[in-house]
Amino acid sequence: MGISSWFGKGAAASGAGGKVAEKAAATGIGKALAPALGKAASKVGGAVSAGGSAAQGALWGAGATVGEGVMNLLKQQSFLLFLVGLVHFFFLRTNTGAINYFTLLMFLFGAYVFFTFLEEKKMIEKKIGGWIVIFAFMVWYFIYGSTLSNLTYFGIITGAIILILGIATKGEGFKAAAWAFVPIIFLFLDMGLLALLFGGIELRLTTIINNLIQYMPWWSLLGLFCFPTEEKSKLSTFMEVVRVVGIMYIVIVCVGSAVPAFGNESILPTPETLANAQKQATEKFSGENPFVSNMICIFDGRSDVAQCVKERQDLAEDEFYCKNVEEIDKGTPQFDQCLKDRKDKREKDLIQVTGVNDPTIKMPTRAELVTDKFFPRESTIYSTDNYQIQYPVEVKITNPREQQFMVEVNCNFTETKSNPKSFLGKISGGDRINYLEAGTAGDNKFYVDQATQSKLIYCTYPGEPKLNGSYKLTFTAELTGLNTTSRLARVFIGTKSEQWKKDWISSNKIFDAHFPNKVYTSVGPEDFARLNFAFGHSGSYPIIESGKTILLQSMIENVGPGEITKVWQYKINLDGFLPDPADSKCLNGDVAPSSKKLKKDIYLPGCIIQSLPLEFTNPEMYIYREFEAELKYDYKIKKEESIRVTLVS
Amino acid sequence: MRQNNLHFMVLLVVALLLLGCGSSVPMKKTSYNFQTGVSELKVTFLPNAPPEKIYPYSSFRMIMDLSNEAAYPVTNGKVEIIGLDEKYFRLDHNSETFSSLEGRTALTPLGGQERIEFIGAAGQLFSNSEQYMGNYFLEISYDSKFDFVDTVCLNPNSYDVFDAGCKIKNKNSYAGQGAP
Repeated sequence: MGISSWFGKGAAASGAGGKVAEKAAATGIGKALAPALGKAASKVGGAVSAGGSAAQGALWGAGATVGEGVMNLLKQQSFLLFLVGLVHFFFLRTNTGAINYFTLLMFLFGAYVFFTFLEEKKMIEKKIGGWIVIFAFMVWYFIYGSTLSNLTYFGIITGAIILILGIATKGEGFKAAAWAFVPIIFLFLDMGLLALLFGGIELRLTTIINNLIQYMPWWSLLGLFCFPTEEKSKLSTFMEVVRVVGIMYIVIVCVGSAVPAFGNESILPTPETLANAQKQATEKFSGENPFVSNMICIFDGRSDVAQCVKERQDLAEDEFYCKNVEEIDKGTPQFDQCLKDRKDKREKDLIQVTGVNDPTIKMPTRAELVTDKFFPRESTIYSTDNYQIQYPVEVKITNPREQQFMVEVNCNFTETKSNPKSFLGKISGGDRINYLEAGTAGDNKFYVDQATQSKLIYCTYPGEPKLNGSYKLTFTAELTGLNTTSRLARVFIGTKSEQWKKDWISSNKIFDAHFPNKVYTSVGPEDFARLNFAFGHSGSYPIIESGKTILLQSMIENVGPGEITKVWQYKINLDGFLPDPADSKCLNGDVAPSSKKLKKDIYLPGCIIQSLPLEFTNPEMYIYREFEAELKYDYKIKKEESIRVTLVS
Repeated sequence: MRQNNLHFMVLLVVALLLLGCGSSVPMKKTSYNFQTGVSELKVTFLPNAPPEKIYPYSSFRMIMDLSNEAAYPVTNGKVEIIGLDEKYFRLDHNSETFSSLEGRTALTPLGGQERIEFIGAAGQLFSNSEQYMGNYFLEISYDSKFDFVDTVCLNPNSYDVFDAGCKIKNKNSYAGQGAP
């Protein structure tokens, strides 16, 4: 008989034998029991019944004429393309944009109709040059996977054929080859070129682009473009009507989304709106033309073409930024410094700093300027009358944390004609505060310290000359002394063995217990602005080990609809953490009021955390801790109203 | 009278004979082998300790019962609560030790018992949050031992033709040893 026995030390950290009993549990703090308030959403449905009567009787003679007309219409290839394009768009095209046989057929049919149209218009003599390009493109794109090496191969072969053809036809062959790129572009548009180009770029124009992506049957558009124009018959009249309707459809799809509102305002975007959109678009599309970048990188002999293109694009974007946004002259030392700063920032931005709304905070701090239906948008006054129209606006504040801050309201009248003049309005209805700020007195300020507060403010025109005509009335409310705090959770494990990491990290124990929603970024209330911050070995990894580089990054996110006008202080509460450099502004600082960056998101200086507080350096197991960051700032919201005043003498 | 005495004597002798006769088989002794199975140290929280909901700035208790359901004693025990953010839940101490807990035996069929208590205080919620959920781990570490008993047969006559000694099983199964 043999007897064996062993002794084990039960320790989770060492993982050596013994028994370790673990239980994951949860406990929570709650303000109160939260009864589930079910929103009873009721829908008022209206049924529209359409009644109709069908006229009895058949006009057989007329029917025969119509039938002949329809046949003639269908013989028009362009009209057929228009119809088939509609059928393809609404029924046959895949939602995912994947290529199917119908796409290829539409491409070939569209090319055929387009070349025929060019022939009829005497713009080309033979289609053959176009077909060579079309078929070469199809083989290269669909069969050989559109690689650069194959492009060179096919390009040389196709180019040689086109060259021979062009010489043989005394240059005519080149024309059809060049025109062949039109149906190719339509193919790309149909397959989702716009979605590819504009996806992910948040512009005011995105709605239009979205509409084009969703509602534009591109092959029908090509068919519409190819409609015959010379014939003068009932048939051509009908096609002309279709063409006009088609063009109207395009206009509505493009412009409809840009119409600001119905009512007194112009139904088309104003020149300023378009100019601003153009400016924004120009600011966004500031890189080097990708085609140019690719060509330069290929001819430079760079093996890493993609990296080369990215470097050129980044450099072009930085140069654009320094020249047009920072307004620094190229060639100056300041310009070079600007480029260097941009490059540094790009490298630091490798740690993504983002933040999300705190799901446990249901009521953020909000402010709104509200005008109701009694707002005097149209009014008549007599020139002899001293009466001044009062334009009321209600400032509604939701202040669940009962912060104490000041609200200053102003209004401005701007003429809606070319070379508009602007006049500052006079505000009344405030608290005439003069005891909080020395030297300030007026009716345009009031003090907020309650959970919900609203104030009716009146704006009047300052005096002579009297209002007469259309104006844009802009109300602004600046909230001074706001405070928003955000938080970030991190886990400190010190130095642990691989086995420990396997047991606690790889097994997702820590993640499941402390990050069940998989949110590793900072969270904060959906106030006007908040300080997003992240620190760790990478921005999105919440576990911090001792002895590894810890980076800290932060940014101020403009969450609300208005502008951040001043940042009094940002402060990340990391007591005991030592930043490098020690005088870094990464933990504490302010943002100058004159900065152009204030209106948008503001990226703050980052730094390296050189050392951790002692308690976090080597805990026996691990330490879970939340850190807070405070933001003290001013914020401005505005509301615009269109008004019209008729002055009667 | 004499006849009565005789009857009494006969009854006495018969009674002695009857009472004196017992079963030739001895009475079976009641016994239970605790050293089977895989039972271990069990921990259960007392109801409402900790409570499911704790209000800001209020105190709470975490009370747990330890029960050694193994057949062997545990020693040098330590109970530790890990992962609570002290900003929200501050405990008077995060760990507590216990010296030993007897295993299950005939004298202590339920095993050694121990009650451990942590006292804590809740902090304030972040900003105007409606709630905070704090997940934590309870880790218990201790020293223990268990016996593994099996028969090893040493056969000095393995080459004999007629061997009535060891019979080797290809596979053996066990019913645990009263410990995990």
